[in-house]
This record gives sequence, C-alpha cells and structure tokens, in this order.
Amino acid sequence: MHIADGVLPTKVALACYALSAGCLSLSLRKTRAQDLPKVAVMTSAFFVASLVHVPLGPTSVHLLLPGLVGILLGWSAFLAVFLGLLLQCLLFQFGGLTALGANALMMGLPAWLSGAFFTRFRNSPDRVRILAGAMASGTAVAVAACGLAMLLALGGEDFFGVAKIALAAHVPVVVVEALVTASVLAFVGRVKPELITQGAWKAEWR
Amino acid sequence: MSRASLDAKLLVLLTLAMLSFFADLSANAAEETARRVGTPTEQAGSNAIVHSQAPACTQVLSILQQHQQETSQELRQIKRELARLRASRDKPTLRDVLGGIGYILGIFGAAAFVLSRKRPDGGS
Repeated sequence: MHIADGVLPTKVALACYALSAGCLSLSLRKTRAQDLPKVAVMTSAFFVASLVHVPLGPTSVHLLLPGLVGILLGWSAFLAVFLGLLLQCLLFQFGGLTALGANALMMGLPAWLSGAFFTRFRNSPDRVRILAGAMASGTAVAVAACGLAMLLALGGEDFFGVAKIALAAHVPVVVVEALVTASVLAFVGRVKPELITQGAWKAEWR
Repeated sequence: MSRASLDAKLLVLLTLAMLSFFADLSANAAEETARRVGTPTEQAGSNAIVHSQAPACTQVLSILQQHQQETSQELRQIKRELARLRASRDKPTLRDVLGGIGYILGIFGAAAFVLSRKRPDGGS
C-alpha cells in the first residue's frame, strides 16, 4: 500500500509533506537519546517487513507493521515510519518520492493511534495485553487503508469505491498482522517485558 | 541433332545445377544460368532443369526451414531470459535490504553519537 509518483495532485502532495514534517518534528522532539537503539531496530523491522510476502490463496500479501511499530515505539513511531518509507522509496522504488509525505501520514498516523490505544492495556494481564495489541495492529492496517482511500479521494477518486477495494485487499493483511503482533508481544512479554511495560514508554504517553 | 551432343549438354546442365546448389545460389539464379546455356535445345534443357532442380529445391527449402526453426527457438529462449531479467530487476535484492538496514543503523548511530557528545551523562 504505497502511493506512487504522480497519483496525487501537487497541492495535496505538498500539504501532506507539510503535515508529515510537523509530525516528524514532534516525533523527533519526543524521542529520547536512550531509546535510539530501540527505534533503530524497529525502523529496520518496518523497512524489511514489506519484503516479507505471505502466500495467501492465489495472491500474496506483504506485512506493513505500522501497529507493532506504534505499540513498541510510542511517539517515536512516526520517525521510524518516515525513515523506513524514505529508504524503501530510495532503494526498492516502493512509492514515489513526491508522495513520501502522503505515505508517511498514511502509515505514521495509524501507528500513533494504535500506540495510544495499546498504552491503556500496557499493564494488563498477559492475555488481555496480547489481545489488545493484536486488535490495535489490525485496526491500524484498516485505518491505513481508509487513509489511502481518503488521500486518493483528495485526488479526485470516489472515496467509497477506493475504500472498499483497499479494505477488501487488506483483510488478509489485517489478520496476518494481528497474528504477528500477538506473537511478538507474547515473545517480548516473556523475554523482555520492560520493553512493553516500563521505561521510556511510561513517560511518553500522558 | 545427334544423340551424343544432347547427352553432353544434359551433363553440362546437371553439373551446373549441382554447382549452383553447392554455391548456395538461389533457385532463380540457377534457372537463369541454365537458360543462358541451353538456348539451342531449349525444350530438352528446361526438362532437364525441372528434373534436376526439384530435389535440390526441396533440400534447400528444408534446410531453410530448419534454420528458421532453430533461430526462432533461440529467439524464444532469449525473450524468456529477458522477461526473467526484467522481473528480477524490479525486485529488491539482498544488497538493497542490507544496505537499507545499514543506513538505518548508521543514521541512528550517528544521532546517538552526537547526542552522547552533547550530553555526556547519556542524554536522560
């Protein structure tokens, strides 16, 4: 789900760039020095995730991971998403450079949303937490699909038509993503629970 | 017209036709040379040409067809290879992936380094 070059009108692309620049600066200001290694690892994961193709029926879908990035990074998620998309665009030709702002908004805002949702369940018992994380990351993909439809609607497309197609295409992604997030949360909760429950995370979302 | 001279002329025509085939001349060229040689005995000459050239023509034709088949097969192979290359060109390679991860780690490493120099206590 990347918007290519020349799909959006110039005005929309520029407005998206301005908005995502604002989000990026906010994200940068909220990122603390001791979190940088964690942010770097999650950025790498997000960057590579779009190459992991999951065969599903006749087609294959690839992971997006905005939800997981938001859950584990909080405010820094937008920075991670922006950097990952920039490098994907430069190295893989996924999405255009002029549409980078729009792509960053489309992925970064759902990441923040799912992080904000998950933070309420951060100290819940294991099962509830995993369930909440799975729901949050599944919803993030759906929200991103709606964001795609909204951006394309600004470019003159029919909103509901695009939204329907985008959501239908991403139903498998929602499911796979929820499963991946659940397994990652279960693993991290067992191996290094402070990544989820404590530290920088607590101070970031007030 | 004596029998011996007719035989001799036929022999000449036959060898000419054979020569033209081996020199890989086209059927038209062979016919023309034969016509030029065989003006006095046109009727007999043309008969001889028809008899001697029919197998040669089919042979040339079959060789040409074989050639065409071979080249078209090779062309198909090359086209398939091209399509494969084009498909693989659009796919990111392992080098791209590792390079991207390197970029990310490098950027964050540099940022951490700058922050650590600014605040020697670790930046908290």
